[in-house]
Amino acid sequence: MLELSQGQQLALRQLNDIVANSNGVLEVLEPATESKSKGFIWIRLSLETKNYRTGNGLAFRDRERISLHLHPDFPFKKPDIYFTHTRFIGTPHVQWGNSICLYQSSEMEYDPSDGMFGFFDRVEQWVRAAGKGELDPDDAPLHPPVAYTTSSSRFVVRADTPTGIADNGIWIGRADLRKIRDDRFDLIGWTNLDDWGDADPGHPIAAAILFDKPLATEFPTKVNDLFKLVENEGLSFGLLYSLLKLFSLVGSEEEHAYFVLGAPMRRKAAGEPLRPHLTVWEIGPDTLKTLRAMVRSKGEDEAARDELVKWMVEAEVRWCSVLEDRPEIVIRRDGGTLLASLSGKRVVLLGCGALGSAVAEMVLRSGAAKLRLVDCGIVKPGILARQRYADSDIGSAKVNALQVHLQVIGLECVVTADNGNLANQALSRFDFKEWDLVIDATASASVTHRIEEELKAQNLPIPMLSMSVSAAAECGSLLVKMPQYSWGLHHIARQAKLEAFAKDTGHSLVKAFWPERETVKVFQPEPGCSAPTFIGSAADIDHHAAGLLNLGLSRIESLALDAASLDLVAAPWSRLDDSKRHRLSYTFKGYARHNEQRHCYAVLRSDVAALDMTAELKRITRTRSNKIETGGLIFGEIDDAHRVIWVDSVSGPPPDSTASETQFLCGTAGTKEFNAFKVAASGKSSRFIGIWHTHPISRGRPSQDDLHAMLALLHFQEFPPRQVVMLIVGYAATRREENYYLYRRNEFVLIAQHEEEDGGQQ
Amino acid sequence: MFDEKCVYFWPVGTGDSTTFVVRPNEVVFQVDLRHSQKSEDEETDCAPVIDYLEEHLPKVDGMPYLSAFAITHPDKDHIQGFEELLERVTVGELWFSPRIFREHDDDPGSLGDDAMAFRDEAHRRVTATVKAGGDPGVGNRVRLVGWDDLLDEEHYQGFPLEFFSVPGDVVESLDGDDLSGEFRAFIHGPFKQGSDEDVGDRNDTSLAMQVVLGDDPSVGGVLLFGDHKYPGIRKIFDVTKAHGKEANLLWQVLLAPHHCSKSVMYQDEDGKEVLKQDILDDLGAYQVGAGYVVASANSIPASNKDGDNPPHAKAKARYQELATGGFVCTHDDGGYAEPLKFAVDGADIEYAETKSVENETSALAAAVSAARGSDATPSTKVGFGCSS
Repeated sequence: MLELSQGQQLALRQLNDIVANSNGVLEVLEPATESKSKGFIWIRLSLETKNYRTGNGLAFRDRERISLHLHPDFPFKKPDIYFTHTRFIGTPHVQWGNSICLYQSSEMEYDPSDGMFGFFDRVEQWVRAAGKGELDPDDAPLHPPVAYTTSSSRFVVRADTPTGIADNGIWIGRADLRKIRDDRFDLIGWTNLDDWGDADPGHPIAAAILFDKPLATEFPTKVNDLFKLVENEGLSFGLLYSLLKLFSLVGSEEEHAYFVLGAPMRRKAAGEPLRPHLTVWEIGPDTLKTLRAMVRSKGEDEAARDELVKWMVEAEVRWCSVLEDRPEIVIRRDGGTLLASLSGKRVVLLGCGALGSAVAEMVLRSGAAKLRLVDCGIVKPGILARQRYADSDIGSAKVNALQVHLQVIGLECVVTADNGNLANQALSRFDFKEWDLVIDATASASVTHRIEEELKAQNLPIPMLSMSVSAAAECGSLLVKMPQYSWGLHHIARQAKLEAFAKDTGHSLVKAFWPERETVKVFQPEPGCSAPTFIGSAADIDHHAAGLLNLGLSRIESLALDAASLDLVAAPWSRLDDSKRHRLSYTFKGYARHNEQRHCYAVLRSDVAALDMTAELKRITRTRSNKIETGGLIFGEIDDAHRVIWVDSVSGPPPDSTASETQFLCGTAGTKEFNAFKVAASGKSSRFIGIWHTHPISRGRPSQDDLHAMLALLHFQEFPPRQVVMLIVGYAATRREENYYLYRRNEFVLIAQHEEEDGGQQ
Repeated sequence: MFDEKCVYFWPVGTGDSTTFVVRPNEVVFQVDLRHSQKSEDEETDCAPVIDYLEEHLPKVDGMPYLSAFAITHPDKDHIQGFEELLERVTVGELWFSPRIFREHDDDPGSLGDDAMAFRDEAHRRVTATVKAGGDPGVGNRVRLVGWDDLLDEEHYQGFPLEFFSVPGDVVESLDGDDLSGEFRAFIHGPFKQGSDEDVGDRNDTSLAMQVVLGDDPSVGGVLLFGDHKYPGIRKIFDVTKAHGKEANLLWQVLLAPHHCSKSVMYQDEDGKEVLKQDILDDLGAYQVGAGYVVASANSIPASNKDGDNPPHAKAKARYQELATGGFVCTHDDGGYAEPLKFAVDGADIEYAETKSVENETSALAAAVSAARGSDATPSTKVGFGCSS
């Protein structure tokens, strides 16, 4: 008595349900029978196929017998299905002459919970398509032909086949190989017989024949049948035999020889021309020895001839496993993804630490053409917890160790290493024309400052990403600088901070990156003697590295060329209290640039500040006259390190100010409070830095009164500032011009001494 | 209708009526007949065969003229209306095997009126032929199919051999005309009574033959096995193969024996119905090109109950699996009350399909869907309660 597994019983119940509802279309011919495969059973069925026959596809009879081979672990293992005859041999999707290939990927397409029902739905679809001849429609990729592997050798095909094969008849030449292991070769090139030359190629080769017409969908298992097949396709036996003899002389005595056979039977996607499907035939050393004997005896060696004939008639073809990596037929698994946009690109990576070492591998795997690694650090033991280095790398330069790791992956990316100190020289060490993207993963303020300085001298015409994580690695930060945004990361960070404080002040993400001083705890891995860093695991870092890289690439796709952006992203597991918003995004353009006239500082004035001034000019015109001077306070930052004056915003005249056509007296009422507000609202990045006023109908040159005002501000207050910006808006009533002057307390005395002779100008 | 070389299978319910147009508008050969009064009423989808014959047969002396009529066996579903046929049509020659009447010898009443009419007419012609010592002339000709010992019997003594055939013979004449090159019938049965080949069932006494409207059996002809069942057909294949005459088994059209009975390929063995794959394999092996299996039977049900008479759904299914051209049924295919026509063009016998099947809704998909069941909420109210 046949014992059925629980799954097989389920299969029969489901099958019987279908049969009972099929009105005779599906019939079980006999009770299940035992299979030779342990635990499996056979179920023989008859399916009405009359209505699927159209004349264009498989020539179904009115009914077809089919057999199901049921695994004991059904439904978790799908049934195999066969025709009980081999009438459809040579048809795509009917393998071994009778095995029906129902699924391209049963993993995706077969649903155990739908069992026989889904399976027979699929059978129905298959039979319908087969009847119409639409199993391989023109607008879909082709199912490749089948050659049943019998050799243990593997070929990885890297090189696209030569072009123009279809037009020029059969292509004969050699496949250039690289031996990777005893049982693996990479096919790295093709050389036409005509281009062969006399020189030893210096690497292993295989004979290659690329037919111009499709061959059978199943490749022969007998040498004899293979000879017949290629002869039918127009390659004479004589020529094939000559090639065999020729290649028997190429390799060493103990090695196999290989024949690569191709026929246009593959298509990558809809509408694309057919490309060759490749198979590799392995010929053993004994056969080669016989062939050599034939060559050397000029065909006179009787024993060798007999041996050869026997081989041709009786031997099985040994097919090698072919693993395709040809761009012409293989669709990259990351096609269409954000990272895929780096394919063929040249990338500079600054910093090879936690984020950097992870990002480097992702860039490499994207198919990037070149990757430059820059870092001056060495591998230390503690970093193995989260950086992609090995114990054997400890003590080595990070860039060299990472370069080796990446090269081992074996992709066609040129990885170079540079262990220069970025804090000393950052971008200026590169010729920007040779690169497409800069990724800064240093999270280093000194590198940021260096870049900022370098960009004053030379614009960076390619996008730059800068990524970092928060102190507990719960949040990631990504800055993007597009090519026409004039300033560097330091500037972006400052602008971003103002935006963040203006729009999301108090948000945990903002606090994470711009904490109140007193809440910051510095983490030192070796207390007392190591550089502070962050706490975070390999998992934390990989998450942020991948996420920030993708985010950056999506930003590059969407940002205007003169824009910059900041994204702050909380990890999904982070314990931040603002759980509803795990990402804050800010996009902005650069401030308008002016030049400070006394110290050659750059002045960066926000659009908001310009609007504020315009509003005040309109107000004074409306309430009094456009001839009346006006002004107010300037808020921003004077950055002596980078010699930049930031003008973030301006106020109108304080309420106790007075103004006339010749004078503006800036009041003080409420200014202290207003400044305190500005300081707090900007996270201390923007504060009172000076005073602006107008010269309605004259140039914006400092007047005697203006200089007195500066003097008063810098010297005659209880707590005077060190330096003050004076903005004079010249010709304010007509064609506005902004004139910036920076006055320092210590130099003012000097100016005062020269006042009489030079009108205050040096 | 009879103006081209062809074969007609008439819709006559579950029974046989086959017409061979051997020479257009001249020589027509009919095998079996079933013509009922009912068929003359247009309400049924049975064809009034005699009406058609009367109308379309060539006329000789003002009478419709059928060159030859062969009876496979005298059951009603093969001979009904013969008496009327004789009245309305001149039949040049009759073919029969005396064996088919043997079992009725003791009880002549068991024969139907039409069978009696056939037997009487046949005997009349035998007598006339013996008396003539050769061709007895139009309307008196008869071809005997039997075994040599038949001629020892009193009634048949002196019967001329030119009108006598034994299984294994080839007949190339009809109604006294030599039709070599146009007509060829290879006689497969019945087997010799009491011989090793005799399988004893009444239906196995049927006349069985391969008819080719040409001279080359290897192109495949029309196989007519009457009401033979598995053992008889098995014997036919075995004996023919044993004699090296396989060409005479080749077919392009197979008239499903016994009106698509499953007894051809299912046998009762120890109370179990067993599929005899061997006969299906043989039938499949001797098919030439895209062969057709024809069921001369009422519409074939999707399934049968035990004990149902033919036609049998299971037999149809098995034929469908082996016929490359297809399976057709006189009452399921073709026009209403019109015969299935197979035109003979050189070596090819082609089915003139009158009904094209374009069925986009799949019965298999529907079966899967029905078996899987619906997940819709109830479409009618259902009541629940605690009262018994």
